[in-house]
Amino acid sequence: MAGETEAELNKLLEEEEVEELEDLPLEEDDDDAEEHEMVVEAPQQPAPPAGSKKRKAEDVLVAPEPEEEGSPIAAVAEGDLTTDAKAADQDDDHEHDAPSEVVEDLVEEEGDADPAPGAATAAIPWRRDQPPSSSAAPGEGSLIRDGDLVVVYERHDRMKAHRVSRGGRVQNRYGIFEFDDWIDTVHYGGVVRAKQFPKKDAEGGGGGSKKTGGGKQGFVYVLRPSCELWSLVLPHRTQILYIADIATVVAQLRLSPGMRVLESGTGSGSLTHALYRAVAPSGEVFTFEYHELRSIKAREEFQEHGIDLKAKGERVEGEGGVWVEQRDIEQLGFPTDGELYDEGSADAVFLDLPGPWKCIPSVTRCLKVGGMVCSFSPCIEQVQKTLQVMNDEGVYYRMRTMEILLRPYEVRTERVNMLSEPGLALPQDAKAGGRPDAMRFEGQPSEPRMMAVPSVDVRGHTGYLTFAQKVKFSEKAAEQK
Amino acid sequence: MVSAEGDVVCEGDHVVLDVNNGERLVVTQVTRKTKVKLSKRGYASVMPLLGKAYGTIFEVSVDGKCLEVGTEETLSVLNGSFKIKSTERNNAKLVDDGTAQKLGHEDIERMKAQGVKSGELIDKLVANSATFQDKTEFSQEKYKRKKQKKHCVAFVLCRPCAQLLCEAYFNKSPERIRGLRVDTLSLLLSLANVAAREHVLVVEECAGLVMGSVLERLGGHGHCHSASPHLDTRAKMEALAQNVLESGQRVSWRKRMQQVQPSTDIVKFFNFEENITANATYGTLGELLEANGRAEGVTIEIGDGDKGGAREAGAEDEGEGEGEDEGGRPGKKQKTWREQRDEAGRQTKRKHLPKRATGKRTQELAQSKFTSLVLAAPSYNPETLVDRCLSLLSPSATFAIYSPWLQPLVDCKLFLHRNKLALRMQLCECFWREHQVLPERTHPQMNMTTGPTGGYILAGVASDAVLGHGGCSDLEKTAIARAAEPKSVSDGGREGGGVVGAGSSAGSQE
Repeated sequence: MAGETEAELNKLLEEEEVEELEDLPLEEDDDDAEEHEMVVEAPQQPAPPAGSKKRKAEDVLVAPEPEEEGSPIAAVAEGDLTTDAKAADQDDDHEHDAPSEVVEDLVEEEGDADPAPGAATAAIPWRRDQPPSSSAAPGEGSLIRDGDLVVVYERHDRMKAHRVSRGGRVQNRYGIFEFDDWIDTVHYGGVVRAKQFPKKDAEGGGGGSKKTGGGKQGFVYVLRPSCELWSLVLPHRTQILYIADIATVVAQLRLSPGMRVLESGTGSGSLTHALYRAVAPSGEVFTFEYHELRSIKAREEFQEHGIDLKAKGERVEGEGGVWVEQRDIEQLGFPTDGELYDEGSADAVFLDLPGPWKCIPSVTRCLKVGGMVCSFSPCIEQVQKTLQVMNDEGVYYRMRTMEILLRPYEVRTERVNMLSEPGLALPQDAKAGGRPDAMRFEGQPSEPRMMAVPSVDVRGHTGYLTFAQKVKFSEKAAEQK
Repeated sequence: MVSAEGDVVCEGDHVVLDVNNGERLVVTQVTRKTKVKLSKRGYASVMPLLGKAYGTIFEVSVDGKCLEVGTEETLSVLNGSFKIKSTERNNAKLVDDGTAQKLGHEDIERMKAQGVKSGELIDKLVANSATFQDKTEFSQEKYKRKKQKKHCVAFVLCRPCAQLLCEAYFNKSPERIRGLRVDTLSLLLSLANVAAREHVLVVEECAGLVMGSVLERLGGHGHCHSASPHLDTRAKMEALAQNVLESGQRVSWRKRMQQVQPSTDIVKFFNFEENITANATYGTLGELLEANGRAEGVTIEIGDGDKGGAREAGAEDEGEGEGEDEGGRPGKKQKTWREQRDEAGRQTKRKHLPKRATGKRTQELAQSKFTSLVLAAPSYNPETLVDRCLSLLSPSATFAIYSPWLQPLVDCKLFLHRNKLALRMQLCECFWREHQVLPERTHPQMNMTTGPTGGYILAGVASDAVLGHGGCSDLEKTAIARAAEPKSVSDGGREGGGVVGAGSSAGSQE
C-alpha cells in the first residue's frame, strides 16, 4: 500500500463499490440466459438448424422485456447505429441492458469446420475446429482467433459468452465492438475498446462516463472460457451445479484422465463439461438426459466447444469422448447391454435425478469394483431413500453425505472509530471528508483499513452430495452364494 | 471383475486403507517388510493385499495380526445402523454405573486369544450386557457400533488419489499440508483450471500434495512444474557450489541445494507411472525467473546487458551442474534413498518421481509460459509471490491462491486490482459439512473432522498486462538482480535503497 494516498485508495475502492451497488438489483441469471438465446436467434441470419431447435427447447424462457425500445436486434442488423446507440443509451438510463445485447453470430462461419479436436489443444478447446495456425509463434498462442468462443467480461459479475467471427460484432452498454478488431490482434485477458459508444458519451454528456468503466471510450475485457466461467454464462435449461459442488464431485469421485464416467441427467451440461475436463483426453463420459430437446441442445453445445462428441457404437479403445443419449434413467436404468460400454466397467457414476434411488441397482451393475457413485439431491428425503436402497444393495462402502457451500468475501475499506477523551479537538479531516455522521463526532476515525466481509447475497443451500464406493468380497463367499 | 492388471496391487505400490467406514485412513506401502497397526492388539503384514483388486474389503483378525478378504457379512456389520428404522422403547430405566457388562477385560482377551470371530465376540458382549435389552433399538445399535470399532476392524483397499491422501494428511498431520482441506484443494484445482494439456506452475509448501494432485489431473498430458519459493538462481547456486567445493564442505552445499528445492514427498504415494511424471519437474522460482528474463531478451528486462555475462557464465557451468545434480539426488532424502535401495535389491516396481528441471528445460518452461498457476505457500506473502509468478503466465491464465488466513489474500486482491494484473477475482471460503443420514436419525455430523475452516482461496484470471510484466515491476527486477549476483548484493541492493527505480539499480551496476 506504500506510495498511495488515502484518497487514492478510497477512490479505487469506491469505484468498485459503485459498480457493485449498481448491479445488485438488476442482474438475474435468467436474464443472461435469455440474452444468450436471443443472440443466436437474431433475425436476418441464415438461421442455422441449431437456432431453431434452441427455440423449441427454450419454451421455459420468458419473452423479452416489454420496456424494450424499438428493436435493437433489427437495428444493428440493418446497420443503423444511431438507433442502436439510442437503445443502449436508454438502457443505460434505466439500468437495464437486457435487450441491448446483440451479436451477429455464425454469420460468416468459414466452411472448413473439422469437428475433430486437435491433439495439441486444451482438454476443452471451446471452438469447433482447429485454430487457424496451430503452430503459433511464441506469444501468439494467447491471441483471439476467428471462431473462438470468448467470454466478454464487463465487470466482476457481468459476463457473456460470444462466438468470435469475422464481420461480427457485439454491443453492450459500453458500446459496439467489432470482432475484426480482436481477431489475431488481441490477447486473451486483454482490454478491447468500443468502436462506437453510447450516444451520451459521444456527446460528452455527464454521468455516463463512470459507467463505461472510467473513460470516454467504453471498454470490456475478453477472457478465455473455462468450465468455471462457462458455468456462469451458460444458457440455463435446468438448475445447474455450481463450482463448489462441481469441484467436490470431481474430487470425491476420484476422477483422473482415462476414466469412464456415467452421468444422468445431462441438464444444462455444466457438470458434463467439468467431468469431461477431468477425464479428457482419453476418458469417456456417457451422459443421459430424458428430455429430448435438452439432449439435442447439449449435443450441439459440446460440438460447438470442440468436445469429442461420439455416436453410439463409435467407441475406440484408448480414445476418449462424450456420448449424449436420450434415455429415462429412472425408468430404464443405465444401459447394461454392452452397446455403449461393458457392464461393470464404469469408474464413476453421477446422478442428478428427482428419484435417484430408482436406478441404484443399475448403477451397481455398471460400476467397477472400487468405483464411486455420487448422487446430488436438494432434499434430505431423497438422500434418505437413496441411501436405504444403496444399503440394501449390500455392496456400497463409506456412504457419506455432505454439503458444500461457497462463501464469497467482499473487500472494502472501512474506518473504525477510536474511543477518545471528551473535549478533544475534532480532527479537521474528519469534518471535511466525512458525511454528517454522528458517530464521527464521538471519536477519532482511524486510518481506513482493508476489510473482508462475507457477501450478503449468497446461496444458503444447493444440494446434498452423497458418495459411496462399490466394494468386492471374498471370492469363496461369492461362489457359495 | 478384475478387468485390467492395473487394478490390482503390485509389490512396492502405495495403498490407502479406508478403515471402519472412514474412521481412519492409513497410507502404506506394500512390501514384504511393511507391517501396519490397524487394531490395538498387533501389527499385521500387508502382504495379503498383494494381487488384490482395489475396492476389496478386508477384515483384521481379532488378534490384529492377519488380514483376510472380507465377506458380505463384514460390510453388513459395518453398515448395520440402517436396519433399525424405529423404536417404541425409551431409555428411562437406563442406569450407567459401569456394572452392566459381565464380561471383564480378561474374559475378552481370552476369547480373542482363542481366535473367536469378531462377530461372535460382539454377540457375546451383547448377551452379557444386563442393560442391552432395555435400551432403545437406536441405543442398541449404537452400542454394537461402539463395540465393533473397539474389537473388530475392517477396511477397504483403495488406490491412492488426491482426495484420499489429502484427507489422510488433514486428519493426521494437517500442519504438513498447511491445513489444506480436501474441499479447498478441489476448488483450488478447479478454479485454476487444472486439466489435461494445461501448463501448470505450482508453488507449494504442502509437501508435494498439490503437485501430486495436479499431476493426477494432467494424467501425463501437459506440464507441471513445482517451483520452490526461493529466488536462488542457477548461477547463484553454482557460485555457492564453487565456494563450498573450494572450502571442502561438499556435504553442506548439497544440503543447501536441497533446502531450496520444493518438497515433493507426497508425490510418491500416488503410484504414478512413467508417462505421468515424464513432464513433471521442479526447481526454484529464481531459476524460472532467470530463464524468463533471458527468454524475453533485451526487450524490457532491465540490466539484461549488465547481467548477461554473469548469466552466460552460469549457463556454461550448467553441464557440470547437471552432473552434480545427478550425483546429489540419491542422497536427497535419506529415507527414500534407503527405501529405493531396498526395493532395488528385490527388483520391485520402480517409482517414477518428478525430476529437477535442467537449465534447458527451465528455459523451455519459461518460454512456453504457464496457463495455470496454483499457489499454496502461505508462509510467503502472496503479493510478492504472485507478482513474480505473473510474468511466467500467459494472458488469461487462471490462478488460484490458497492461504489459511484471510488477510494476506485481501491485500493481494487489492494489489492485483490496483495494478490491473488480474480480472474476475474472487475471494472465497468453503463451507463443508458432513451429515449422518440414517432412518429417523438424520443430522449434521457431530464430530467434525473437517476443522473450523478449510482456508481461503483467491482466484482469478491474469490480464494481458502479464505480457509486459517482466519489466514493469521494480520489485521483481531488483529481486532478480540481487539473486543473480550474490556477491554484489550488499552494494547493489543498498544503494538502490527503498525507492529502487529501474534507473537507479541500473546505475548502481555500472
